[in-house]
Amino acid sequence: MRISLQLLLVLLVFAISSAYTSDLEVLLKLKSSMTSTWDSGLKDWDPSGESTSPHCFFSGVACDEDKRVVSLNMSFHNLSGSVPPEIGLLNKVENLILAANNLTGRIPAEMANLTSLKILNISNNMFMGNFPGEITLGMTQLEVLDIYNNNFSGLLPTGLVNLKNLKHLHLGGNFFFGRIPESYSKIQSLEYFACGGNELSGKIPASLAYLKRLKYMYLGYFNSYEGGIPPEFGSLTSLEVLDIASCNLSGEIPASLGHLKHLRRLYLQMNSLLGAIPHELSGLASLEHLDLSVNQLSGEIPGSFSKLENVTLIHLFKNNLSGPIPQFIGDLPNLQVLHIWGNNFTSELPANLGRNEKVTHLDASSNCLTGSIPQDLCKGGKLSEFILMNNFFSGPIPEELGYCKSLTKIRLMNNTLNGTIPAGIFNMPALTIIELTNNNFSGELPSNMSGNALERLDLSRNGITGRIPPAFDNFLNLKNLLLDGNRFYGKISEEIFRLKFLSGINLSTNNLSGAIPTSISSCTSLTSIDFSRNSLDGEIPSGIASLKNLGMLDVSQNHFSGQVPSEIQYMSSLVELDVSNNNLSGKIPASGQLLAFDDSSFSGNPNLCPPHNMSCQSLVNSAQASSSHGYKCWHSIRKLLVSIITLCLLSIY
Amino acid sequence: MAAASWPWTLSASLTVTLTVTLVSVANGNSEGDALYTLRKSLSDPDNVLQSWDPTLVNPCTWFHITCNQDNHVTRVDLGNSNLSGHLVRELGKLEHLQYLEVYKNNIQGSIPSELGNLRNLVSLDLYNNNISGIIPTSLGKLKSLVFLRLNGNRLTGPIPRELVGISSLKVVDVSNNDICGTIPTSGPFEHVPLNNFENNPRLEGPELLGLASYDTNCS
Repeated sequence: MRISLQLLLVLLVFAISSAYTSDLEVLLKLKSSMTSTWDSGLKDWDPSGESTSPHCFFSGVACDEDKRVVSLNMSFHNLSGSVPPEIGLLNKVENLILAANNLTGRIPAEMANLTSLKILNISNNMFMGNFPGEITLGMTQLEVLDIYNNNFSGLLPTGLVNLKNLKHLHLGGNFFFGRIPESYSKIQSLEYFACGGNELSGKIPASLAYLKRLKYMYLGYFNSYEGGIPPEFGSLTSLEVLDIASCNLSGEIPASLGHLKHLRRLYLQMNSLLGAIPHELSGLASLEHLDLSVNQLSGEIPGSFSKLENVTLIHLFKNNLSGPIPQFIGDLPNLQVLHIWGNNFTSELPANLGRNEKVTHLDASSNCLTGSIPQDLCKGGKLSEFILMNNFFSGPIPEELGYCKSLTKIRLMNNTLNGTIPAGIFNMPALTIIELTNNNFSGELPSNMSGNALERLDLSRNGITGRIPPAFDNFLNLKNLLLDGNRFYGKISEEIFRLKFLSGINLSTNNLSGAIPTSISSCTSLTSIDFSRNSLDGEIPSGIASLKNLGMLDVSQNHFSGQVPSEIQYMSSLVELDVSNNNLSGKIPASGQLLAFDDSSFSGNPNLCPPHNMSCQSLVNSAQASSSHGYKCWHSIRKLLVSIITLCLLSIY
Repeated sequence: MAAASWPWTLSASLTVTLTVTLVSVANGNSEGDALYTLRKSLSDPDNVLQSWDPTLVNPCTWFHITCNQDNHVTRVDLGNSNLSGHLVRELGKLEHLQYLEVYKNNIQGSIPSELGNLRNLVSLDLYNNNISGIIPTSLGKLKSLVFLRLNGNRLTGPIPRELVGISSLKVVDVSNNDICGTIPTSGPFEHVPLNNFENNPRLEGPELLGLASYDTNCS
């Protein structure tokens, strides 16, 4: 008896000590299986040293009093290869986090032994094959199962539907196909459910509405469901975020969704939803983000939406919505982002818009809006994006917007706006694009201009007059300058060509005069020059040929004289050339790049002989004789010399 | 990584201005999508393509892109931009494109045959890159082409006979490649100087019309 008791003791001690070394051995086995040849941050997983249970001091490892591993976090360690079956021996582990590595292969069935698990996170790896839901059968304490962003395929696992404590289930970002199982409605403890970013199909089960504790549901992106949003979802009264975007939903938005009093974010964009926006959605008292964009919704914005006091973001763009933009939109106290472009909205923008001092982004472009621009848009000094293009707005840009230093984008083209552009617009620190094309703006540009962020300035097709200010060279990052179709006069200021990054300049169709500044040759980023249809004169500077990236040069319809610089024949980058309708003369060399252009590039210059044209040779000679003084002089001297030599020779004889 | 390897859950909560990857479905601007596909397959250390934002309604404000008044892309100016990577088939969707300037970079891969769909193309400048493969015969469909400059690459195969039918062609340069076969002599090729074919060791010289065998060992 005593012997067997001793034996029992020895066995017990042996068992316990085996248990220690087992966990240590398991961890060392994990390290050797899953680490790559170079450093992976597990250097300190070193079994040597005085401690009897060194593994409890490994980084990412925590033990209980019995020196058993209860927590193992190996995330972001560049692990690769597959998880060895030995992992199943860590049966006391409660938190197992292997996230953000390059692990591959399948989930070992031995993981079913991890019956103490509360948190299992293997997200952001490359695990593949089916996800064996059965391994969770014994994991009665499991609260978090996160397998997001792997290469799992097959059907969504159903082995986990009997878990009684599961709160967080993230199956998204894999290649699962088939339907969302109806049986998922059994997981009554669920608070977070995500299966977006897969290849799921079929109808979304209405039974998911039984998940009364559900706060977050993500079903969208890359999935392609049949049918629409189950109206039963209106009873998911704990829901805070509902994201069913971009997954082929059809039908109408159920009015019952208006019951979701705690819903903060409703994302239904990029589907094929139709019908009107239900006015019942005004019941979404907690709503902050509303995104119904890119659908086929029709009708008007419901007046009841004035109740949505907490809304910060409204995305309704690319639908078939119509009617006016209701006045209450201007009164919403928290509205920051209003994106309603690409609809058939009519009438005016609410005059109050911006008075809440919070508006940051406004894009109402491509509608049928009229009236003037609300003056308080930037009252809070936060307006960044200001886009109203393709509408029928009239009146001026309010002066107040000239003080709106937060502006990053102004795009107002294709309207009937008028007046002088506020000077402050040309002195903005963060403004990257000013696009005012095709309006009726008038007046002059300010002489003081600056802005290191400005990259594109397009004022074309307006009635702006005055001189082109030299201060354009203060826009240090300017890449495209389009001033065509205005009434600018005076010279092209030479300072413009100091801009190191200027790639495209279009001053066409103005009243500019004087010569092209020779400084143009230093503006080496230029790819496109259009000075056509002005009253420019002088010669085309030969320095233009040093612009190695110039692809387009149009100086047609001006009063340029002299010769076409022959250096242009060496400009291999130049594929578009138009010098027609000027007063150029001489013969254009029939060589190099100049051979590629046909006569239309050179026509309308009575004294110019294009490269291919042989018949104008005599015309050129007489033109040269009459127009070129020096040549005539040399001709006379030559005649005189010949006469003198002849006389000398005669006198010798 | 998986089908949705971009962090869509993050995006869901950051939907403020970004609807990035599915723009091709959402946006409906096929020209912007085609160019964005090009951006994704190019390596761009100088960030010349930084402004190529696919969430914009069209690519007409992107730098190095020029559009006409109907917001169709007419010019792509990416010469001398330190780009590598490769061209994409989707470029063939730019139906109004007239000038494709991608010269003096380090582009690899082959010339997509879909470029033959660019009916309005006036200039195809791919010279001084690292492009390999053959000159697609589909380029013979480019009936408005004036400039075809493919010199300074690693192109192989023959000069397609189909190019002879492009009467607008003025400047052809395939020098400094590994082209084989013979040089066409009819149509636009009557006026192309011989040094635009030089430094192609396997190029046999001008075609001799009437003789039987052509382009042996050259396919």
